[in-house]
Amino acid sequence: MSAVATDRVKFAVVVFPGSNCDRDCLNAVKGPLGQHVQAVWHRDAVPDDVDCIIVPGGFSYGDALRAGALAALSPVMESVRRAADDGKLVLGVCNGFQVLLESGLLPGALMKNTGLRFVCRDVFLRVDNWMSPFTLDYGPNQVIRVPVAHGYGNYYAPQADLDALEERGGVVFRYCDEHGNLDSGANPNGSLNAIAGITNERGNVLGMMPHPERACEGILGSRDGLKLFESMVKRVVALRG
Amino acid sequence: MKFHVLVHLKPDVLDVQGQAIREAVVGAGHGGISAVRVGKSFYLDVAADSDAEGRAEVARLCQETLSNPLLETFEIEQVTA
Repeated sequence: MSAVATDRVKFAVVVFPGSNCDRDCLNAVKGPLGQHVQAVWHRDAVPDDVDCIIVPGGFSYGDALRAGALAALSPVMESVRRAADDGKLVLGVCNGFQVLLESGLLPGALMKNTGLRFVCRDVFLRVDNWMSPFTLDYGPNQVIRVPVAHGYGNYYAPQADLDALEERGGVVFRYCDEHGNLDSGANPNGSLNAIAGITNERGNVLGMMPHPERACEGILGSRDGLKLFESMVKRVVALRG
Repeated sequence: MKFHVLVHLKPDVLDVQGQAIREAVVGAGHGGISAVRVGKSFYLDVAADSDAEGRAEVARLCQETLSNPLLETFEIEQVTA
């Protein structure tokens, strides 16, 4: 095996019992993105030299109690919290988003889809904040196509929290139609304000229900998700100076 | 000592499961059912020096883990074995 090139950005993918998108994330970073990536078991800590952490989708702990609630108590989350405090980039996708909310790293909660059904299809997203470290490579209000696959994706926050989130530009992605219009038919789960992805106040933690890692290669039907990971890499490289 | 905990959605949070159940049971002929709210029920065995201490521990657990305070409220009741 060749030594890891020191100039490559280091990603870690956290693995809980019941994670099932960890391999997709590992593959997206290793393959199309071409960066270094390692899996980190939930009982271990994310190594200090890691630049970016991905909390993947799946059904951690079988969704027992509430989606993400028990994973939030896993030992690995202490190192994820520390990395977030240090300003490192943390991306939570689907169940990973639920874990970040339950951990208090992001505001709000995800409830059962209003239609009660598990929704598994491609959706269009509007990039509402194209200046976040995760969206630098997208254009203003760019519309992208990525898949969703979830039963609990209905974003909720109390009105005051929602207003604060909107005011600070914390809503990064919204569900829309192919032209970027926010009609209710485009919202797959009933999320308030058609919210699909949000960042924390500092902007270095992103949680989103859609799966960008499943849209990184032409053979998967869309490459629109790759720019998100490329944006993360650019940000890390820029900060290295 | 034993405690029973009930966790349910706050009144102002739409309970889509409860709504679906109500529509289904009304359709099945239970026309008198005007509302359904779904919750979770937990029975906990707790080792503590006093009832108050046990209840306080359960309350902390409810606040931190068993409920999501944004969406849910909880009720704690001590039960005799």
